Amino acid sequence: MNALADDDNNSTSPNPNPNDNKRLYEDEISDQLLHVPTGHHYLILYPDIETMRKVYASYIKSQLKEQPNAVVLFLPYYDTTDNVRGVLSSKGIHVKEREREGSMIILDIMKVIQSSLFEVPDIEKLREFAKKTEQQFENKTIFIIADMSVFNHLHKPAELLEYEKTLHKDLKVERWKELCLYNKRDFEIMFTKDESNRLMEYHKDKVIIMN
Amino acid sequence: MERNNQSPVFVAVIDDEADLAYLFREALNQIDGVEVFAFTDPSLALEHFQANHQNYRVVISDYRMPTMTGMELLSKIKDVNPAITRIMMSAFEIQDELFQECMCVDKFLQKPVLITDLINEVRMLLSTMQIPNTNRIS
Repeated sequence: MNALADDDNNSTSPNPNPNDNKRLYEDEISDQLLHVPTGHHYLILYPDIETMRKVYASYIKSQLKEQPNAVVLFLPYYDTTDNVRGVLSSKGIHVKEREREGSMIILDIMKVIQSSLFEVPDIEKLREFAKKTEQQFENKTIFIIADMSVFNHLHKPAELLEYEKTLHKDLKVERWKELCLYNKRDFEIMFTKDESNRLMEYHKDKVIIMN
Repeated sequence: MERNNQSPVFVAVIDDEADLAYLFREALNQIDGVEVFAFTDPSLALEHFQANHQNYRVVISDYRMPTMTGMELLSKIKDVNPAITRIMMSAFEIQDELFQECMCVDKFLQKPVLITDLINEVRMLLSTMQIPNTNRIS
């Protein structure tokens, strides 16, 4: 498990501006995600919406700079899709253009889960949606970022555990990099200690806990 | 509503976006005789409410928040003190069935909410509760 720099570490920095330290911290996480090869599935626990925004914006920008032809599928929960578009645009990402050409898909994760397109239980809709996206973008690399905190509100931890365990079943994993975001407090409530440990075990060294 | 003229009535604003919670608090603090508490964590808001519910008149909550939804929070608020006016705010669409199941939301405000609208809404609610103006709490 990788627990990155925390506030204590930041406080030892010679830089007196805490905002600068925060920027460095977020860039560090973004860099780490950028260098994860495709075919991997990461769990990211974030402390608050502001931090999450900075990290996803920094990460998506860097990832698209490195692989401009890739497809980004972003399923936020606490952020509105319009806000996500605004945040990404403010980083210089051509969101409208990408959405028009189909290389960026931003959807409220709740809408995917509640969609009547797939006649399967809630959580399985995510898998079906991922499969559909994969078929749609044959041969393209796909970066998926999904805020799974929604499942705390749906009260379905058992189904979520199974999903996390078998996420890449049926998918051509070598074309995917998936980041499952969790608000830390939701994560703590959602799972018992035992479940949390099992989840960590599934992901082994692929967990980032942000402070 | 009976209350001591010397003590303010409490209003809580709960939003996981700290900037918004504090912005709403500052705005509502303009209302005379009101003390506004801002929370980013619904669990903390609930604790504060449970300990001080006699002073509370209005609770305003966002919908999607970590740990519990605004609907869950307002339902618990109603259980503690059903006389409290409960307002839900959200930038998201919320299914009518959820409101009907919960029966815990008196008013829904679609985000983005104009600050003046929010102030007027709360001011009107408090006036209908026949709360006399008292010294402004800063």
